[in-house]
Amino acid sequence: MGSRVRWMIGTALFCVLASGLSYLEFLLPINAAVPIPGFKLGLSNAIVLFLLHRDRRQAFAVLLGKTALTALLFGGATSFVFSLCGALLSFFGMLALDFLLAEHITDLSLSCAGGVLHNLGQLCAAIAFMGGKALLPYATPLMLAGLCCGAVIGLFLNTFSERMNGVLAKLRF
Amino acid sequence: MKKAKPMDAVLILLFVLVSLVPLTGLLPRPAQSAQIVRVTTPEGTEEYALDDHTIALDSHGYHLTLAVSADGVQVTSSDCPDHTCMKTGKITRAGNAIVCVPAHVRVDLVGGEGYDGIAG
Repeated sequence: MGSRVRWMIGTALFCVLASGLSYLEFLLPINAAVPIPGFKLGLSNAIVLFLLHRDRRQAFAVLLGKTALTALLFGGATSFVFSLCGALLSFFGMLALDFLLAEHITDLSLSCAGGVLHNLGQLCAAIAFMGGKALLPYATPLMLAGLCCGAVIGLFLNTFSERMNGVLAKLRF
Repeated sequence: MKKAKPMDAVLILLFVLVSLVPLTGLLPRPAQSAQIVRVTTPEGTEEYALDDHTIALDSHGYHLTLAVSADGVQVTSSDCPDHTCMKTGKITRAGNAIVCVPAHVRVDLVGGEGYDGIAG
């Protein structure tokens, strides 16, 4: 099997895995526990961040794929635009941090950056869309919630990413 | 297993501080008594007086009912999927707003020329 085909299959599998995690989030009654509109755990960011260290192009492809797939399955045009703004800001933020400080930081702070920037991007899109300062009170709780979820995902990746790489190596991905 | 590094803690602290920045935009806002309800939909902006009546809105395929009273306004019914607009409850102060993203509706309370007090 050619390496290009292997890459595409890998990308498709990771897209589905990330969308599956988004679906899992969709099923959990998170908004009952944390009543902040627009709040999500961002489990699928774990996949993107994991791939960021392996293959940046694949990470970006999965990011776009899972955002589109999630919007098609569970959201709509509005949620796609919001998610895409958040996803792009968080991806390029994590990429820049990884590029600048790779030796000094771990997935913990990368994931926190992703969580905060994702929610910030979504909020900026919402403010651009709705206008005005009406959404400003949501900014701090949303960004802090993103930070907390990012921390949990970052700790998970710090603990398991080597093992996950081992499993993927066995599967020759 | 990778252990967190000191720089991680520095960055996380930085993110917490950045998260708190939007709060500063909320602090220096003088209290104003609300006088007008301004409803913004994709079709345009309408203004209503603050007295007891209801407003029925059709916007972007959704139907909302606003209950206006002398001291504020709230969304009493909406067929949007998340009901965030209803959960916002009643807003009573000028500058506060209810937003229904699915219906593309925004309800603002607008103050008059009210001041807390005039010195001198």
